[in-house]
Amino acid sequence: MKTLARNRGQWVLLTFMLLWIGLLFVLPHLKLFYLSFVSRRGGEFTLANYLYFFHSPLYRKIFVRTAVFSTLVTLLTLVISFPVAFIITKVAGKHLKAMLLLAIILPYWVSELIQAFTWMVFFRETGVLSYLLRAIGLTHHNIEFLYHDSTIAVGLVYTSLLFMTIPIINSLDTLDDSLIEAAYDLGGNFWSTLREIIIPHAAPGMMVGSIMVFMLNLGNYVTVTLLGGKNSLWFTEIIYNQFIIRFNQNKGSAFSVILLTFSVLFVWIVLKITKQDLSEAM
Amino acid sequence: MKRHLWIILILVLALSTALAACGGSAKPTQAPTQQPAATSAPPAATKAPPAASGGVLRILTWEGYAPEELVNKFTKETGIKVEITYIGDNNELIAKMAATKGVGFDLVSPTLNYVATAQEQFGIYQPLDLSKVDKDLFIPAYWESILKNSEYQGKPYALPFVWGTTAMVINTEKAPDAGKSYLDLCDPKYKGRVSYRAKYDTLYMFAYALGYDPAKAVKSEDEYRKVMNAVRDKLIECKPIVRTYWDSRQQLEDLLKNEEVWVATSWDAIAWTLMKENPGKFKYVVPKEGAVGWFDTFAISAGAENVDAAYKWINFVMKPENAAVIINKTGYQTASQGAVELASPEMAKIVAETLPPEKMKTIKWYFPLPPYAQDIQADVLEQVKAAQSK
Repeated sequence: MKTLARNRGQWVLLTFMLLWIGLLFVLPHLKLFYLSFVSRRGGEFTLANYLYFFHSPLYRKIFVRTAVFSTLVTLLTLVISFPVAFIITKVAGKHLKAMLLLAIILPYWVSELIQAFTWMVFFRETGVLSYLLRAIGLTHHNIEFLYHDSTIAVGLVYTSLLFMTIPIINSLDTLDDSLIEAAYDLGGNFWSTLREIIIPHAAPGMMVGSIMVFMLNLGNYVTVTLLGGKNSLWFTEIIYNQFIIRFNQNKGSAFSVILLTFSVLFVWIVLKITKQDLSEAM
Repeated sequence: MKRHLWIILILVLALSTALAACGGSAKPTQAPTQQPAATSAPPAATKAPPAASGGVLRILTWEGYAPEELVNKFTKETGIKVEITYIGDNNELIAKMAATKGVGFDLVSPTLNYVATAQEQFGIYQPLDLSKVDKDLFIPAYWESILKNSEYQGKPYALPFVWGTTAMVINTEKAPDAGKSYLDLCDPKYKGRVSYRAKYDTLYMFAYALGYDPAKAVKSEDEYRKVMNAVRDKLIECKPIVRTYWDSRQQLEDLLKNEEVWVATSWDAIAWTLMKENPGKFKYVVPKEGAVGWFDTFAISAGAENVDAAYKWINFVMKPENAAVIINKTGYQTASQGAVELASPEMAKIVAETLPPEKMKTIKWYFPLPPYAQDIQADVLEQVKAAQSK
């Protein structure tokens, strides 16, 4: 703190950061928190907004569906991202590495909305995938791939791939190649090296990636509603309905707080189970 | 350490969040934070109007209602710049306005049945000054009816602008017999080839098709819940038939053009444009229950800063040659006297064919919704969407 006090430039930066966090993060959430505990008419203290959620089997069901689905998608993203990250850090040469990184980042130059529309063109009954399958003679009819849970999963994995890959690359980068060689020299095979050397070293990166991807999926709105079709109800849509369709900011706030609390709790529990430390992981 | 990778990641995250926000996704923290007052305060009438010439007019409206062609012409004629924000939903419009009591917008285009109830709940509009409007530009029947139906505490709040109907569109080759009743949307013959919106208009269509009168039932909470629950059961029963619930004009057009859907509910303008582009392939059909009708209006924001410009815009847009531009661009009909005659004769023929006077008489107009009705509809729609089906 003493060095900080001496350095005026750092104070200016710190002020900006505190203002940023305070005005754009803390303040809105405090308001959200407050709104969730008062009644819609009159504004006195009440727990009714929360009880409403817990008494509704429908909302509980949608909430559980959203949470389970987000978890599965996070695991799937992890399984896909890990080999990619490994190839980029350990296998690819310098130029290939830069190319591969660019290839991962490139899709994020278009917005999530456009990505979702592109998937719709790809998956629809008269779309690209269906056409390709027919062209190589696998089927004779057009097949509808859109509007399934698996379509949502593809869309979500795609939008969150980068956020898993980069942290894993980051942690694999610090793994000395000679450690892997040593493991093989000492009689280890592919699986035991992976289990004993590589994964433990990459664990903090995998943890950070999983946390980010899980949060992104839990709070997703665009991809889910566009690709999901008639059975797609996601918890964020329920929150949207409360705010916009029913004009009920208080219930909407309560639902938002529930979602926020759940995701924080979930992350905390996973950290405890895997014996990871968030500050260390970052 | 690869610090630059982290920077890239953070930038991407920030960018995608910003883009998602632009793309229309609602974030809870961006929603209105102001508590709507239970009783509406009278709008501030003391605000001094800014200088008559120049200035900026801020419009909150639907896509196609303020085409660039008209905006440029208006700016040229009056020197007033126009800024447009689009909305896709009446509730979105009200939420936006209620957040600031209308500050930030001068002129809005809410649908008629939402005007008086929104005024009662949120006080977001100001009473009209009819002396500033050129009455002769409007079709008299619409003028009378809209002023009367937008009254709150004896004062009118809305002027007629654009209207249209919602009924069915069919693929005449694949499903030539569909469209006699809204219940055709539930016919196993068309399994997987049906689409409608998971929105209020579908609820009304099915309510009429099942023999109820939702416009009457809405006056009692219990009665309305009973009707809507019956509609819900029917929609859940029909869920295996529907391919997907359509959300946007583009989505419906894609579904129909690719022949993925043969029978759908549709706004008249979407169907008419398709009929014009693909003669003989599609048809807008009004089933025996009648089309559902809506009327979009002009209303002045309670927080308007440039009221004069708003009235100037109204008088400008309602001139027949200008309203004709909107008719041609969107396919919707306007309340402007003499505009239809100036619009495309091709379109006029399609309109006359599919919505003849005897069908016009059966239009079921949207009815005002008390707050409890909004909740009941949202409940029913959530239950329908949450019901799992193949």
